[in-house]
Amino acid sequence: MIKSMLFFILAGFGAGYFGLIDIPEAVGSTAIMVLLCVMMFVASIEMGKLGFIKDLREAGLRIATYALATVAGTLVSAWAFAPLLSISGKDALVTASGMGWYSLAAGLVFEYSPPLSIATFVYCLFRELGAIFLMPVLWKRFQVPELVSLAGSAAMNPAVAATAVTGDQAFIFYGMISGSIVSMFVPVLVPLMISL
Amino acid sequence: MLIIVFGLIMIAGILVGNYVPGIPQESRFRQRLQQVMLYGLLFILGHQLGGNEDIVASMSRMGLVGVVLAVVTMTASFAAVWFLRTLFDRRIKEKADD
Repeated sequence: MIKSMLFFILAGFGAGYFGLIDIPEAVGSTAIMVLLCVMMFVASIEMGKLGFIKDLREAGLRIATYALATVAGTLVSAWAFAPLLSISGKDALVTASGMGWYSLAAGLVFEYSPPLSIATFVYCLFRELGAIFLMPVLWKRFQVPELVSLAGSAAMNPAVAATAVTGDQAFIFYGMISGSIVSMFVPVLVPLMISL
Repeated sequence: MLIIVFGLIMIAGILVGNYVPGIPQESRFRQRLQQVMLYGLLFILGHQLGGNEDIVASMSRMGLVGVVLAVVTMTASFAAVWFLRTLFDRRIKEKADD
């Protein structure tokens, strides 16, 4: 999947860079927004279908608090670290608000700043890939809630991978609920940070 | 405006998935549709990025910003949840001891 994603973004990049295909900017922007809306709707149906509302009721306040701490930790650290990266606090917050949801976040950020959408895409992809590798490695020393927080909104794929390696089913449970809660923040937080 | 649009789309999708009968739990069509749209989105994003010289010039720097932000935010989220989890565990232990 990740290989295919990289292939398509690089193919698009090459087509744009060498002028092989002509997509007018207005058409491209509209297509991005339409695709984002449809993808968002289909992904939300998936969340509803997997019993997100029921799971959320059963999981209680504790997992919701972990998800909120994940979001808060991400935003505060990004804002605090911005000066060291020579970017504004706002740009750091916009990028970090992607939380790992590369398809939605990179598209939303593109409308605000195309260069920053590159940072957002790399940030989201790296967060998911990093979590896939780190979750099983750190599993013996730490517990599942903090390990799942590494992935942000993209917790499901790393959680499945971590369960396959460690055999600990708690990864799936925490990954689905925490990932879904954090995901709910992305479509709200990114435009909010852009509007600051 | 975008907040409202995307917030409403998400709420509508969750409600449809949760309450509308006849939608299969797992659907190959939905999965394929998501994949095709994702690839299309990435292609168009890549095209828009590649066609802009200013963006191409800032690519390596922005890539580095993304990687560093990922490392920093992962560490901070991890620390925040670890702190909360140990706090919850301690409270549960204290209640059990009482």
